[in-house]
Amino acid sequence: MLAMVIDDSRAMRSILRRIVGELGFEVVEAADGQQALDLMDDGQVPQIALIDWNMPVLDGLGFVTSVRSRQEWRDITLMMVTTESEHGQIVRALAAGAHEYVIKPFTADAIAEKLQLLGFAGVAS
Amino acid sequence: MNETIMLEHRDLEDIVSQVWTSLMAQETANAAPWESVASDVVAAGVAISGCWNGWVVVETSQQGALDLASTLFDLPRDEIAPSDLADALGEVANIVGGSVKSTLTGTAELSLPSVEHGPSTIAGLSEASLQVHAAWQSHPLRISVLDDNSKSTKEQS
Amino acid sequence: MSAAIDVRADVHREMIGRFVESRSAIVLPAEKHYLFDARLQPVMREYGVSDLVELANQISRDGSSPLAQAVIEAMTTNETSFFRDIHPFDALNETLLPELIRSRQQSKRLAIWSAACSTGQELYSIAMLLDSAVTNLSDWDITLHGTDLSTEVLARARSARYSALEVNRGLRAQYLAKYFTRDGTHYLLAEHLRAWATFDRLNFIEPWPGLPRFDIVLCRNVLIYFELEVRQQIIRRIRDVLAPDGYLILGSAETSVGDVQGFTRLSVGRSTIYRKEAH
Repeated sequence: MLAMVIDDSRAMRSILRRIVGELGFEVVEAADGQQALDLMDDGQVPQIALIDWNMPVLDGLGFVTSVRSRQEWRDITLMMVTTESEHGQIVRALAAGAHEYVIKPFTADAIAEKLQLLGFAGVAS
Repeated sequence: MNETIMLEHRDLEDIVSQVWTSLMAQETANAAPWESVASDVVAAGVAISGCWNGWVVVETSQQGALDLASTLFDLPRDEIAPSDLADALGEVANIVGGSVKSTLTGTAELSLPSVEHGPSTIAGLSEASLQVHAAWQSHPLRISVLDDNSKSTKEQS
Repeated sequence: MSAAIDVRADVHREMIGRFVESRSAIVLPAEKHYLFDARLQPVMREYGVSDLVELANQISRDGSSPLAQAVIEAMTTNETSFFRDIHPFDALNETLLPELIRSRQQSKRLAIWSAACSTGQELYSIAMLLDSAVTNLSDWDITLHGTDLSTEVLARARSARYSALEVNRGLRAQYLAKYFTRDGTHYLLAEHLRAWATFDRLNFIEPWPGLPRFDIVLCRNVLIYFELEVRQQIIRRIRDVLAPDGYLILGSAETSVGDVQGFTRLSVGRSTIYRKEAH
């Protein structure tokens, strides 16, 4: 299982890498939405992407929209992990094609439970 | 014109406490207001623009920022580079700023964080409309929510 | 210097952890020890205890003092989250609720009890499932009843206001978007779901207040605190308030509590459910 962590903060990527790593995922990191798309075009296509919203170059919403426009990537599970927590933003992200939404700050348990909800049953305890 | 920010002191304390307990598994305690800003202060700020315009600034000491980065990166302090320190404190400012932004009733955008060393150059920080003084692991911590009055005045006139 | 203090506090956290374990049978693994600071701080403030070291010393001196009781209560507060453990809610959603909705077409009445409801997430999770059910229940008489020992958690349950940290836990984003609105720093559950819920204080080992007849009782992760005999007595009393074809749901770690007398044990999906036997 490959998870892609997309966040412009290296500290946040490090936190998420540890959490999903402990749940049994291989982890690849990207610092913005465009880097993530480039990695995927190079063949690093994850089963799940954890996506920040506010990032330089291409933001998380733009990334979700791009992934959803590509037929061959329709099976990728997309989970926003962002400090954007207004009701309207959550609705926008879901409408664009995100499956789940975690609000920063979060605990490791919250990530594990969301992954369980998304059907990554083997990974959550 | 700026929307009035409905956030109360207690709310800002809660936000700060939630960030520290969830991301760092550390408790914050209330602390007395700073008498002066130490020369080794590190500040990270995000700007909010839209229905409300202003900044949310997180300040701590050099040692505090180092500890914070060490915890978030899960690395020993002597392996933390200056850029790691800025990244970690910037992310904390992003999260606190995002939580503040989400209490606004209108729409607004959050800037990417910027980090400064030394007494902050954002004018009037000590007179911020809303300010929480706290401490964690004996490190000083100050969170300020600051109206950008220049913007609101301009739009009013 | 601060590192030395941390190590000392860790040793005392462990001491407090062992004390709470011995008195509640709740296991507190080391990685959960960070909870101590958050949960014990209000207790320490109330009793004027300066730090964890002092706290550990005091409870080791007198394990039955009010302070020691307060420590146990603070550390054993039922940890809860929306759709906790998910499988029982799958069983409810896919099997129990559709079946009960079918069998109560005439009376249009449904009553569910969350015993030890803590801050209400369990009860409100069921409210969301009911509201999302295929059958429109707007003309039904729905009672979702929550009880707990602690009046403090009941007040929070009634408010139906949850922090960002709480709505992050176990709640599907679709439900968050559909059923919650922003209320300052918190999220507030929709009025029409709150209207189904009632809350009351109840101590299992004291006389119970008047209760309606329930179709489902959830009593999860509570019985483990009691001796076998008390446990069986509680199960008998729950049976008395259940409808003839009613269901009991226990915690997933409680399937080995032994005798659940007067109930038929069923496997529904990945959950164990108990159906009341006729007599």
